[in-house]
Amino acid sequence: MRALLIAIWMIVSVSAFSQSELMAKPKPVFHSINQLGMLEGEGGTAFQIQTINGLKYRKFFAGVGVGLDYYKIRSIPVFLDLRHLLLKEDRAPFVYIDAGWNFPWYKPGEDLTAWGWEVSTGSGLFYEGGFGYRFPFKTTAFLISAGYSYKAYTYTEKYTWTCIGCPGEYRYHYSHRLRRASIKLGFSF
Amino acid sequence: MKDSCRNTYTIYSPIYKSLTQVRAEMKSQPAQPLENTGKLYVYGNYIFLNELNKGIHVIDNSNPASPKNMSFISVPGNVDIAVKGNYLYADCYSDIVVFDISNPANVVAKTFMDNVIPEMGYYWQNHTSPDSVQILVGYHQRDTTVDCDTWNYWNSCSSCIQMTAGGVVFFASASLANSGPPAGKGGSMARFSIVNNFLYGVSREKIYAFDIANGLNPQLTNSSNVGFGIETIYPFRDKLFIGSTTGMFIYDITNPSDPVQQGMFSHARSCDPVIADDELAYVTLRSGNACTGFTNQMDVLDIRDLSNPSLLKTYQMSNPHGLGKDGNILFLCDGAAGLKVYSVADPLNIQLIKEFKEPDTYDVIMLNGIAIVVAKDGLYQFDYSDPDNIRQISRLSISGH
Repeated sequence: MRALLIAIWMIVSVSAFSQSELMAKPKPVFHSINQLGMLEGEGGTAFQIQTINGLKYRKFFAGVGVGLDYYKIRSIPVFLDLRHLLLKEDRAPFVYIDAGWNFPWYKPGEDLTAWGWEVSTGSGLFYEGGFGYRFPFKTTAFLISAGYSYKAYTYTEKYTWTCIGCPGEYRYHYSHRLRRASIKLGFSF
Repeated sequence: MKDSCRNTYTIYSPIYKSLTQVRAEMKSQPAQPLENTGKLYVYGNYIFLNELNKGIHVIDNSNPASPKNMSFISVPGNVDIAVKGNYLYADCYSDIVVFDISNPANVVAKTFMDNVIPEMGYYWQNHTSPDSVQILVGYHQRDTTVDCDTWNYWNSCSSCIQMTAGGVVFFASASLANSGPPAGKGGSMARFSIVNNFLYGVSREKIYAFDIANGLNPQLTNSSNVGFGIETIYPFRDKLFIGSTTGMFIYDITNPSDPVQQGMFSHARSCDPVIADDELAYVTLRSGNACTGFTNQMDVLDIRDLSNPSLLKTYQMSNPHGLGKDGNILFLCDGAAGLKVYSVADPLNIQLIKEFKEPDTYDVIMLNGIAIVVAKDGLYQFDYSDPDNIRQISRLSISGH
């Protein structure tokens, strides 16, 4: 009889454990992170805005982001975003890293074009890393973060002289690498 | 945290030769690849195509469907050309050189008019002998990369500074009956023009008239100020239409040795090749490079009252350069937007009948149903004898394209 009771207890325990384990197993959940902030560097202070959309799984999040970055030259960073909550709780600090490509958003006719120079821009590397804090609030969460941000782009000026004896084309190819501190506020849902 | 910037650019170191040596090399040489082509001139079965600042390609165009790059004439500083009879007139910095082209396979320089356009006379300076004059014939190129804050003005190319400071002389053309051997035909971007027995050239500020009744020995008969930013010259009957960055000038050449301004039409600052017929002038205005401004359009002007041209209509374009008209067909080189062909039967309501988006076009000459178009990537020819079936018949490639 005692053996029977022990066997029943074991079966029930294992069954209950398996069921709770099964019910507790999280699934990836879609999250959208939307944030705006400031960039501060040698080139001054500039505005930025981003939206990142992806999946959260346990304490990890992976998504694809796109933004607007007005530091020195208006550009659109497109990047992958990875972040990790450092505590089990929903209210917790986190670290994040972004890596992708930066596309200058240059409108013909701006800058020196009017004075005879043909201007073109080229894309470059974008990355950012930092830490933040997540404050859950009902079905959403507020985010605050700070980090180091890098963006690169190229800027080419070309002038074709029509004068006699000139080499023809004068060309300056500028390769810019910009390093900034990044502070952002946002929310996720 | 510091931003960083690196600037990569090309240093051009000038190469000089004595004028005597340069002139000895002004003759037919083996064909060279087309690289940076400019103005063109058509004469008979031949196309003379300028290689900017270097010389002239001679192209056998007996078969427009298969043009042949036949030879090259080295002429440093050459930008414009004009042809009449057996003689080709080419600028060489401030000089004009007369070539005998009676045998296009063996072109020979015959006459050198020294420093005839003083605005371009930098290389002569105080010299009087061709032996002591040094001519810029090219550049050694070297790329370098420096910090963006490094000051890099053109001290490495003093000749460039000198050349940009002066005017530029270029050439266009028309032919009339009873005026000796026929002249060839130039494009709307030309700065040299031959009308009857006179060669007209415009610099940035002046118009020059040369009597070429004796083809081998042109005589300067007149030079006078026109204005600022003169760019092109186009002849029609006894008139010269001169395009400038600020307007179109009409000069009367009833007395061919002494052109007299008859009218003017002002416009926003931009570059403006012009063509004309009995009643109308078509002026393309474009922005970019030295043209400055923001205007990109084609104006149709009423020129029946030559002393007071008036604007009839404006058509928006992308970046119009040269243009040509034959009957009611108008070819327009719209820069990177390609080549556009319009029916101008009703000038107040022109109709786009064909568009070739591929070539980045510069100038066009229309002659006997064939349109010869200079583009960034080659010399194109189009058959427009049937307006309903305008088609490309050939392309002579430019090196690197």
